[in-house]
Amino acid sequence: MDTQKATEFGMNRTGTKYNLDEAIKTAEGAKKLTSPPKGDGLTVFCDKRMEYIRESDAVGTVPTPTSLKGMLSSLMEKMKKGDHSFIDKLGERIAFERTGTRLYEALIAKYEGSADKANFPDLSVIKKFHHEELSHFRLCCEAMEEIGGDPTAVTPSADVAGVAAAGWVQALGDPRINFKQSLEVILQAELVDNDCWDVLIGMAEDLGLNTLVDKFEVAKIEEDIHLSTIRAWVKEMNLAPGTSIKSSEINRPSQVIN
Amino acid sequence: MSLDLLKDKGTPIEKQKFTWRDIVQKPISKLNDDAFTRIRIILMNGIEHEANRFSHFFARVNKEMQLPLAKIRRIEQHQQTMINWLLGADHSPLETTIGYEQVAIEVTAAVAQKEPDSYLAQNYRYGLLEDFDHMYRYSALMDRLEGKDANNILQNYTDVITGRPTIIEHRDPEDDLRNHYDRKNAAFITKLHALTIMSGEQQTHNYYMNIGPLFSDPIARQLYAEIAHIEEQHVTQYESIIDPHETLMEKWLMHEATEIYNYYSCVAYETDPRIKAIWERFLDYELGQFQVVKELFKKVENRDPEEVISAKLPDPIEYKSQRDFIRDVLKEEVGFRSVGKDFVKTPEEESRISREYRDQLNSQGSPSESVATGYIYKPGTELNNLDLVVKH
Repeated sequence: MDTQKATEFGMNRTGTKYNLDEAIKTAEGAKKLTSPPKGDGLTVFCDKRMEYIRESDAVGTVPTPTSLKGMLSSLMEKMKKGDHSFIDKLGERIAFERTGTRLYEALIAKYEGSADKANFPDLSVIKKFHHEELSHFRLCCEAMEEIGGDPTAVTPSADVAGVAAAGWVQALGDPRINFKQSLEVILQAELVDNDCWDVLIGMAEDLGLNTLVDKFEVAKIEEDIHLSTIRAWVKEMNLAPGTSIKSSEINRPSQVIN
Repeated sequence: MSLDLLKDKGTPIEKQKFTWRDIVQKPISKLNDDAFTRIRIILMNGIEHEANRFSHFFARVNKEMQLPLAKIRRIEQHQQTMINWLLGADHSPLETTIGYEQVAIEVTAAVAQKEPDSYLAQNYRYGLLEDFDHMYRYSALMDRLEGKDANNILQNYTDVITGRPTIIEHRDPEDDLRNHYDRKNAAFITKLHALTIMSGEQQTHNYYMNIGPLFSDPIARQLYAEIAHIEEQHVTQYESIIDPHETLMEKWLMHEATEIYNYYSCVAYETDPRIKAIWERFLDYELGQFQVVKELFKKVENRDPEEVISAKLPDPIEYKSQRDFIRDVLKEEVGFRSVGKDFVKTPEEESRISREYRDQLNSQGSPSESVATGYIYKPGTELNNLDLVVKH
C-alpha cells in the first residue's frame, strides 16, 4: 500500500459494517450475556483516580540554580518565595524546541522519501523552520545559563511536555505515516509551541527580564510564521490537492502575521 | 501439505541467515490485516520466546549442550525478533493487549476441542473462561481510558462478555497445580497442545509485566497488576500439565516439534501472502533445527525419537472464530472452580484456602471490578448512542 494513497478505499476490517452479521452477534451477545459489576462506572473511575491523585508525589522538582550571580532581584525574590515557575517553563521550552528540531528532521525525511512531491510545499522553507527550532533551543539554553539555571536538567514541565509529545514522535517516526499526515502532526506541535512562547514571554516581562524578552520576541515572530505557514500548507494539501504553496508567498512575516 | 518430521530436512542451520534489514520488515496493518494474522504473530512470538528461555535454562545445567543450544538459540532469537516486530507501532499497548487476550481465547478454544485427553481439555476450557473475562475487563479499560472500541482489534470474531469474574480467579497455588500427562502414553498432539498453550500464556505474563508500568493511569496500572497475577497462575497451571519426568533432551526435541507444528498451522491458515512466506521460511528453518536436535537426542539418549514424537503432524490448529463453542462453555462451566488438581462444578465447593487467599488480596478493592463497573460492551464504545442498523 502506497503511503501517499493512504486515503484510498480498501479492505479496512475495523468496523462493524465489515462483517455486520458477526457484529450483531457480538453486540447482542454483550447485551444479553454480560453480568457487569453493579454501580456507576464513571463515579467508580473518578473515585479510584482521586484516591491516587490525593496521595501522589509530583513528577519531580525544579533544579536549584547553581549560581545566583547575575540573577535579577525580581527573579531572586520569586525564588525566595518558592516560586521557580520561570526556570520550570524555560526548561520546558528547551525540551520542546529540542524535540521540535528532531520532529522537523523526521518531516524532512518524509519529504525526501516520498515518491511524488508534486503538491508538496517548498523544502527549503521546512529546512529553514528546522534551523529556527534549533536556534530557539539554543537561545533558551543560553537564557537558562544567564539566570543561573542548568539547561541540561529536565524540569517538571519539560517532563510533562515530553510525555505529551511522545505521540508526535511516534507518528513522525512511522514510515507508513506519509508527508501530509506528518505535516498535520507538526501543526499540532506548532500550535502548542506558539502558545507556550506567549506564556514564557509574559513571565519574562513580569520579571523585568527585558533583554530576554527582546530575544524571545524574535523567536516568537519566527514561531508565528511557522504556525501560519504550516497551517496554510495543511489546508492547501487537504482542500485543494494539486496546488502547492510557494515559499515566496508565505515567507514574508508582514503577510502572514496578522 | 503433509510433513514427515523424520524425513523432511528443511533448511540446514548453516543456511539460516538474517540481516538487520531482513529482521526488521514492514509491519502488518492494524486496520487492514485480518485479526488472525495478528493472533498468529503474537502466538509465534510466544512460542519462540519459550524456545529461548528453555534453551537458556538447559544451558545453565548442561555444559556439553551449551554450544549446540547457543547455535540454535541464536537463530530463534532472530526468528522471534522478526515476528514480534511485525506488530505496527500504531498499536497502543492496550490494543496489543486485546490482541493477546484474543490469542488466549481463540487458540485455547481451538485446542480444547481437539485435545483427546478429557482432563486436559477441561483444563483448557477452565483457563479459557478466565482469559475470556480478561478480554471484557481490558475492553472496558480501553473504552474508558482511551475512548477506543476493542472490536477494532477483534474484528467481530470474539465476544466481549463477562467470563469467570477476574476477582474470583485468584486462588491459592495449591489449587493451581494440575496432573501432568504421562510422557510414555500421551498422544503427540497432547504434548504439542500443552507446550503451545503454556508458551502463549507465559508470553502474555511477560508482556503484562513489561507494559503494566508504562501506563500512567492508576486504574490501568492496577488492572495490569491484577491480570498479570492471573497469567502467572495460568503459567503455573499449564506448565504443571507437562510431564516433569521428561529429560531435558526430550523437552528440547518437543520444543522443536512444537515450533514446527505451530508454523505448519500458521502456513495452513495465513491470508496475508507476505506473512505466509515468513511462516513457510521458518517452517523450513524449524525442520532444519529439528534434524540437529533429533541427532543429538539419538546420540545422547541412545533411543528412538519416535518414543517422544510422531513423524506425522496432527491437523493444524484451527484459526477461526470459536464464538459458539465459547458461549457453550461459558453457559455450562462458568461456575466451575479448581480444588487441588481437580475441578468442582459449583463455587460453594471451592477450597477454604483459596477463598481466604483471595479475600486478603481483594481486601482493599478489586481493580477488575472497578474498571468494568456497569460496563456492557457496545460497538463504537459505550459513548455511542447509535444501534447497529441492518440494511439489506
